[in-house]
Amino acid sequence: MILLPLALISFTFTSCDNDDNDDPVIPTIQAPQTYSFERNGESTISYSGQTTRLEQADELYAALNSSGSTASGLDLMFNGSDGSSAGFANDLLNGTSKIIGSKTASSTLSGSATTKDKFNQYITDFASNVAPNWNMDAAPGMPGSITSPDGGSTYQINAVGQELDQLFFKGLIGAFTLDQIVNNYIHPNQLDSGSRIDDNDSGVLSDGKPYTDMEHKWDEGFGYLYGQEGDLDVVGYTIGSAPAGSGNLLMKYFKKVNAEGGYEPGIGQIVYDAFIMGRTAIVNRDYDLREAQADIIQVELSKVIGYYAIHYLNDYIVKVEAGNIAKAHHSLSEAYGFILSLQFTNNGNDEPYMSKADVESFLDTSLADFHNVNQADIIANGSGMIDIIKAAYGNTLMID
Amino acid sequence: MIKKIFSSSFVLILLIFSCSSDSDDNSSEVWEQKSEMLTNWADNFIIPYYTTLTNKLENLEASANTFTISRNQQNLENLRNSFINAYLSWQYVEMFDIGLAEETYYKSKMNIYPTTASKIELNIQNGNTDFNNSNNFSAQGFPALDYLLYGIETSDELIISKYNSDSRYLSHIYEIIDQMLQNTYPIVEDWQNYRNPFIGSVRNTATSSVNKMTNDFIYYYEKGFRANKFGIPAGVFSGGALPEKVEAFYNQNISKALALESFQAIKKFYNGDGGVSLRQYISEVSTEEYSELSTDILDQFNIAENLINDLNENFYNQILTNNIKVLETYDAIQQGTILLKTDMLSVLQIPTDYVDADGD
Repeated sequence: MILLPLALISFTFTSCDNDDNDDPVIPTIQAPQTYSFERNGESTISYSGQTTRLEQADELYAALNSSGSTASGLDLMFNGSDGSSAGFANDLLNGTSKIIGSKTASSTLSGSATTKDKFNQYITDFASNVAPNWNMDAAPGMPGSITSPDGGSTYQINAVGQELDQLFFKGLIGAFTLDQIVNNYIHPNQLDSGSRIDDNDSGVLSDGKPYTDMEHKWDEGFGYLYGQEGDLDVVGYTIGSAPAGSGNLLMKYFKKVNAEGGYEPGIGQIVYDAFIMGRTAIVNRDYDLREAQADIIQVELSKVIGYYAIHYLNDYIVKVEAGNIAKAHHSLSEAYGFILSLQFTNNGNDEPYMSKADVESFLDTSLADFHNVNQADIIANGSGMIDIIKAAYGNTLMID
Repeated sequence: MIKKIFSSSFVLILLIFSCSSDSDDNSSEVWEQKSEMLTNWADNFIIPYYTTLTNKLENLEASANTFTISRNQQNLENLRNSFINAYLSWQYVEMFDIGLAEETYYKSKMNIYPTTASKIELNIQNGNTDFNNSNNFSAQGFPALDYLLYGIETSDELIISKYNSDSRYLSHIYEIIDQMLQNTYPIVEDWQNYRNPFIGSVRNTATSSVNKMTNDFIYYYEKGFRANKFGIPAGVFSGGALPEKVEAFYNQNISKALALESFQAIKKFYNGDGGVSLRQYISEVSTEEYSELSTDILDQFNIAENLINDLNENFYNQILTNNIKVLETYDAIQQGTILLKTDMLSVLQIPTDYVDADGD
């Protein structure tokens, strides 16, 4: 007689966990060693749209380093035309729905129209002021070129001393790649919207595809980091411990942080494993586990921005003290972009490590004119930018 | 034996209850709150707003009659005023994309902009417009009237003379207004029957009134308000600005008035206007993490509204002269989207029922 209520209890608990009483028992899978998942013998991984955008970014980067680029040509590459990508030399990148600009500062969580517009303005400033003065000597108020004392490096800067391709691309690391991963594709706003939970629970696949919508969205997040990795079948190739993707965006600095002698060797494996475990959790319909993995990815990838914002601020000071003004402008331009990117970080609780308002107060005051920078704004103990960024990360960054 | 069955059932009920309150659904207290909210929405928002809109559309038809009889400046002005009044009252209705309105693509027939002027002209030349053909959705409703009353010629004098010289234009105004009424009447009538099932549909399912209407409200905020009135014309989703995509392009001076009216509708709906709505419901069920959410949303609405107030009456001119102000306004509105779509839905445990196409 006591057994009956106990049976009811366990039955009720099961139905609690599962929302849907009729759910059949799902066979669960173990997390694989590599990011490979199959359904009926067919791979369910797809992130070609991300690879396309990353490749578009490479061409755009080159164009922002060419005196021959025009405002309309750059705008075409960045924003496309009538919802279709255009303007790339590699024709495979044209005529697609993949447009970098439409994914710049565009997440629900941290997107901003004014921040997106800054990128449009960098293009305008570059095409109207920098490109026409390519071979002029730069000076305060005067765009042009600046060369390092050893003659080894020449950079083109705008009237306030900023190297625009660096502002643009280091800004894009946060506003585009990081934002799309941590604030969009691995976030419930994207993964759980519409009927995606129900569909994933009952194995409803995307139209004509071997994957569920939720699986695919997670893969797209993965693709914004790993979308330019080489041939994964090469013997000894270890994407986890030694990520090696090409390109000029988040992966470029993720590799550096992970490298031997980098700021946090091992971060590569941590992030890769979290992507695998999160994707496994989706297959197993374990959304709490998925969220826990998303938190890991959000925190770890966000650190890359913090490390390199500080790295280039430090580097700026070093270059100034060494009398290498050209390199100082270059480093500060990189720092500027990484600081811009800080507003797109995610601390695992859907908050950035540094708010848009705080980011902009740095950029618009201390870094508004690179010809007039007060070093104390950067290095002052406690109140300088470097210490403020460290504190924003709760002093979790392993960097001086 | 009876006693034992009772005790085991009791355990079962207890457990169902405790697990239900976790998922915030089936307890009778929550049902009552939802029902109260739905009743408020039906009786103090949806049904009266439709009545007001119907009256304004009938006034519009009457003004069109007067203009037809005597096509002078005074009557054109009266017709335009009736048009503006109806357009303002439309701002309260567009979000109710539910029931028959949803089935008949009502909002698409009433307010897709920019309107396709070339299609309107073609329809005038051909006659016999099929307004139920989705190809003609952008050639009817308020945006088409905006074109016909302000845009067919470059001055009032020329507009009046066009109506004097070509009766097809006059009859097309009629057809469009008549169509708007024919679109509206069945929905008004349907609500008399639909009201009771609407207010009784309180379960947390994708098709319940609570879930659908809450999603409709957020969708309207995100798409109808944020994107259509600000984001698209300001160029948020394209490279450059597209000022010709403002609402009421041919009478741009009312673009801000329409947006502000729409915001009033949003705020009233959220606040409940004296009854129970989302604001009260959030306060009731929110966890500690979101204890400030209901006021955070209000604060964000106020920030956004102040920015809208600072814009030019004419959004087209504002975008051309200083688009950054529009982008800043858009960002403030977007902050509201996050609070509504991410935080509020999380508190209410309602899933979003729409997804954005992401082009991948």
